[in-house]
Formats: sequence, C-alpha cells, structure tokens
Amino acid sequence: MKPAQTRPHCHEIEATVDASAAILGLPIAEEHMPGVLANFERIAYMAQLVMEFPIGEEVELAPVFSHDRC
Amino acid sequence: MIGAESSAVEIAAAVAGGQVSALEVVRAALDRIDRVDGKLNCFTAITRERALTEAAAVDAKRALLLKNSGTAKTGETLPPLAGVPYAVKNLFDVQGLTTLAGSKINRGLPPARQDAVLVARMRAAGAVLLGALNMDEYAYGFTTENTHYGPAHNPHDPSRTAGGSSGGSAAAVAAGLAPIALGSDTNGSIRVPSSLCGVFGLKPTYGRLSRRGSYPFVASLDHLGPFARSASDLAAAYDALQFADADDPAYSAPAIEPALPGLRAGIAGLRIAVAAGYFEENAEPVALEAVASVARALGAGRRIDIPETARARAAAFVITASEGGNLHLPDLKARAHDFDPLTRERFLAGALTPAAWYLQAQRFRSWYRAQVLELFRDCDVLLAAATPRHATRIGQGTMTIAGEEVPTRPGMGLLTQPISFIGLPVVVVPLHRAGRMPIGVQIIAAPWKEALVLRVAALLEKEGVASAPVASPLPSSSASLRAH
Repeated sequence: MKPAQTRPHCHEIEATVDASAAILGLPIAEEHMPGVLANFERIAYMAQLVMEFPIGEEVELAPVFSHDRC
Repeated sequence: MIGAESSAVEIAAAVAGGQVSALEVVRAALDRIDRVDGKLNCFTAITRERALTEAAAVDAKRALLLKNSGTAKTGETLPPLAGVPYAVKNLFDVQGLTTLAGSKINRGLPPARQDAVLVARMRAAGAVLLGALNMDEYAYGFTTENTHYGPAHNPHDPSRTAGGSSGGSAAAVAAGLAPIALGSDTNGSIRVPSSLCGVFGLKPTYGRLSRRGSYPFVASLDHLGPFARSASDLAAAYDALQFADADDPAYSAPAIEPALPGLRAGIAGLRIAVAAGYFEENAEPVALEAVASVARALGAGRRIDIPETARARAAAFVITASEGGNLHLPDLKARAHDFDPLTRERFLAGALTPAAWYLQAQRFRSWYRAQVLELFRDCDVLLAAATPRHATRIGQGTMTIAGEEVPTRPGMGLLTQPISFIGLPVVVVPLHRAGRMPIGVQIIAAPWKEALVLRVAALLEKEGVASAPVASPLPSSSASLRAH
C-alpha cells in the first residue's frame, strides 16, 4: 500500500528534524544526520499511511486491553 | 539418559525420580555452553555460581523430601521445573548482574538488586539459571547483530543471523544449550528468532505476564514470553510464569489459566483459517509453503483477509519509534555516540516524532483491534507465516520479499508486527526440512487464548508437522543454496 498523498519533500523532512531537535534540546552530530533524516523519512512515510485513514472521533486510545472488553 | 536433546519435562521427571541430580544436569549444561557458545555468541553472562547453588538447593530439597517420606509431610513434591536449566535475554533483571538490554550505556548501571518477576517465578518453579543472553541493543532490531557484543549466530548455519531481538534466547534453545529461555516481544522479537532458529516460541496476550523487572522498549507494545523445543515445555514454562502482578501497570490477565492440563485436547470443533491478503503478499514462497503445510494438517481451508493490516504495521512502526525514542531521550541528548550505530539513528529520529502521528497511530490501534476481534466471532485460530523468509546472512543489509528489496532489520518483522500491535496471543511452531533452514508459522487466537494456541501447537508436533530438533549446523554452502 502506498500513501495516496505525495511524500514529504526532503527539505520538509530536514526542516522538521531541525526544528524538532532544537525545541527538544536534542543535539544531532553532523555524522549522524544523514541516518536520522533517512529514518525520519521512513517514519513520515509510515505516519502518512496512518494519517490518511479516516478515523472516527469516538475512537480512543486503549493501551490496556482488559478482559471485559474482549 | 539426559543430554542436550532432553526436554524440560524429561529433565524435571528424571531429577524428581532420582535418575539424575540437578547438579549433574547443570554441570553438563555449563560444559556444553563452554564448548559451543564461542561459535554462537548466545550468552553475554554465565551465572555459573548461581546455577550450581540453585541446582544444589534442588538436590537438597529432594533429599529432604525422601527423608521425610512416610512422615506427615508425605505428598509434598518438587516444584514442576526442578533442576531444569534456563537462560534469559539480558533485559531481565538478574540479582547481582547489570541489566544490559544489549547496550554499552547500561554497563554503567548498578547490578540488579533483585530478580525480575519472571526470573523469580522460574526460580520458584525449581528452574536453574544459566545466564543472560545476547540481543539487539535496547531490543530495536530483528537480527541480533549487536555491535557492542557481536552478533548471535544461527545454530543451523552460523553464517546467518539468529533473528532478533531475542536472538540469543532462540539460538541457545536451538543449540541445546538450555531447554527453555525467556525473551521479549514488542513487534516480533520472540516470534522472528523462533522462526529463524526453528524453535517454539510463545508471545502471550498483552498484559498476561508481568514485565516488572525487565528493561522496557515500547511500554504500549512490550510482552515477555518463553522459548522451548517442544509444545509441552513451552506450556510448562508458561504455566510457571503466570503470576497476578498488581505492580505491572499493563497486567490485566483475567485469571491464572494453566495450559498444560488441556494441552492434548486436540482441535476438534476449532474453526481455523489462513490469514490472507497482507500476510501472503509479504511472504516468500518458502514461508507460504510452511503455512500451507500447517493448514493442511489442521484441515484449515478457509482464508480470511484482515483489512488495513499494512496500516496496522505502519502504526506499530510509528508507536515504536516514538516511545523508543522518548524512553532514551536523556541518553540521546547526553551520549548519542555510545549507542549502537545500528540503532542510534533510529532512536534519534523516533524521538522527533510529532504527537499527531503518535496519537493517530494509537487511535488506529483501537480501531484495528476492534475489527480483528470481530473476525474472531466466527473463527478461533488464524495462521500466518512468522517471517517472510529464512534467516539472512549476518551483515546482509537488504533482502527481497515478494520481488521488492527491503531493509533486513525492520523487514523481518513485517508479519509479526500487526499481531503484537493488538496484543493477540501467538505460538510460533517451527518447520524443519532436511537440508533447509527452518521457518516458523504463527498460530494466532483471540486475547487470553494462550491455552488454545498451545493446544494447536501440541497437535502439530504430535502429527510430525512441527518440531525443533537440536541444531547440527549445516555446511554453509548447502544451506545458502536453499535459503534464497
């Protein structure tokens, strides 16, 4: 399955990584940056698959699956 | 005669019956580790002194029971796994050892002050701890290619990976170094190495077994469970591990539900189907053949397509990246250079995941889970390959699945990830064919139905479809001819 929307551009990935790292106070060494960008792009690709799915407002997070809801 | 091939059940019976002492069993196990593990790299620590002490305690208990026989204490027996050697992935706390979780960073932590709950459960069951086992750093990988501690080698062909992230656990069991090992499974880390090393593995329902005292990875998805070379050993370990633990926030098992008593009940009346669609589209012919063999043996002609499974896998990927990155954020800030190069940039990127992506993935998880639970209204068991193909070579960065080249380390989990995403119980049954690398099939059921999937595994073992012989390494060349 491929996301229906176009994938984020490289410059969007770079801008997001730079801004998020800055606001988190997470320094990223120059030699690690290509790998971080490649991995973030992969996460963005996966996230796009999730984000484009129409999900109802009533659907909540359910991290613990208790017996009575099975 | 007790040896490397002996099952846990056989060892426990022989110890209880006095045919062999627990000390003799553990000395033989330690000797085999000394001879074999240099080639396999399963163990990162051997708890020799503890093993000898625990085994001596089992023998002393047996002697006491014998002495008291005929007195008021008659009827007391040894615990169910008395004298059975086992080992644990090095993310379990073991009193006196530092819990490495495959990392260099954790070497700086103090030794664990007490055993993890599941280690304590094994000890209470009379089992004897041999040591701690190799894994991918912080459990982020499916190959156990650990830069700090070296790769775990597949006992069936040491040039290939053991799978991961519990690769040391599966390889130790496959090599006959221990009949039982414990591991963890967030996205497939019990099921992938079970498949690639050809052993039985159980990932119980999310919330079934206490995780207290184990090093986390992705709290929303983390499970613990056992490996073994037979369905009965797997069930015996699972029964010993069950414990109602109010101190694990995810613990939610409805009751302690032993699997051994009904293990031989067979499959009459069970509605069994093959998971089609995504699960077949992301598998090589060898994996599909394995599923077909299991389906034939179980008389499963029905096929069910679980909609939106690719999205489920994607959502699990996002949750994993985000929670894993968040967990390690302080170390990523302070000492990113100390991470394994094979995980570091995955964690760094994961730490930057926007909240909207993470939350939508969690909400999708609720939606997907509800859809799959509906399917279980008229189906009891689903079958799917555990890995898309056989084990890859150590160092092999990419592999081909269904004509597409994909990265090996995340790609081996394509078929396990959607199932752990919604916490379903799974047993992996291993299939061995002469001259070929093993591969496993997932037996999947509705939440809390561990006893059911273990029953199916026991039947497949009885019918000769599934088995887990101790590995005798194949010549590398012949294995490679058939593994691609």
